[in-house]
Amino acid sequence: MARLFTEDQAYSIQRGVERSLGTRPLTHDIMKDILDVFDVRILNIRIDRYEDDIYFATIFFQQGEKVLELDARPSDSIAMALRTYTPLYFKDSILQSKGIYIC
Amino acid sequence: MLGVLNMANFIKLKNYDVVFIFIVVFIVGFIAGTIFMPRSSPVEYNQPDLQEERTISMLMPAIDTEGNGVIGTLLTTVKPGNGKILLDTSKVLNYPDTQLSGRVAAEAASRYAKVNLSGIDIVYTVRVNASLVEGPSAGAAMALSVLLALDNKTAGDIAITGTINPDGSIDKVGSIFEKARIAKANGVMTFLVPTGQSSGEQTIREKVCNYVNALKVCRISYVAEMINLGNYLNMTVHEVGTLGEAYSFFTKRETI
Repeated sequence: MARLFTEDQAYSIQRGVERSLGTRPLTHDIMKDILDVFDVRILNIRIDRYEDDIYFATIFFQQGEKVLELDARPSDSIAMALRTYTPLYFKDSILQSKGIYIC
Repeated sequence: MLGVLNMANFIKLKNYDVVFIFIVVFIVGFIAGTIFMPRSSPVEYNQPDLQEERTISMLMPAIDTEGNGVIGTLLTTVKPGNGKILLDTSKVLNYPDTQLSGRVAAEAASRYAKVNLSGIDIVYTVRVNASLVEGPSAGAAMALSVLLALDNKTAGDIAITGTINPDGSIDKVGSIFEKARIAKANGVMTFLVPTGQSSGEQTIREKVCNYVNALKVCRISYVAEMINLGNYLNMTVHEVGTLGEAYSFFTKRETI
């Protein structure tokens, strides 16, 4: 799927892919620590909407009996998915219409 | 050229003398080059003397899907056959790049030892307590295991991490600190790492939780420091850039 991220977003995603910690924690590293300590887990992440050249994502959090469905940017969602080993789902129609075959 | 002609004029040479000298120098140079040029002789690949099936075992540090170090075992079997290269990861899901590594490793081993593997089947068996095997970082271990199996040697307490290229060069891998730590915890005394990776800045995430009365208080800190793997983990760590360098640690054979 073709998508341009800002440099900061791309860097955070890259660190997630490489599973490396930089010299200092990034925002997504901090958020992962908070989720970890307060026993909040991410159930799944969905990139499920595309409107006016904007992609929309939803992150589903769970803590005990509570579930939070949070509107988020796909870049943040991907960065969090990589840090928390959470499944990431794309809506099939978006992939079909916006996806690019690279191999 | 102008300088040469000026010099020719200075020592009273005519133009055709200069041209003649050029032609003579060119012909002499061409002949000398033809005679003395180093020639690359065709590499001869020998058939390995392998009559029976051999299996060797190597410890293989790896990283699981949560970024933790896990120790795996690489069992490499060589047996008379027809050039099959197989990867058995049992119930562990593996990515195609791991399969490709096995193939590249066999080619690198073949080139290094100058042996023809077309009459040999190679079976890599990976046993690891993880749900997923990905990445090419077992490539160097696979190549070494083929050489060890062909030479009927054992890996002992030496382990290696690194990707392998067909020419035998070994490239860098990620999560080197976690791999070294899990290797040491599982009895590896000598750990071979790619060139430039025996030390480096490592950021360690430290999480400490305590109870203050009934309140659980956690502290997470990120500490970046320069770490020499060998000193930090009290183990022998060597950098290796090629398959030959790495193999010399198993055989004590001097490399050129």
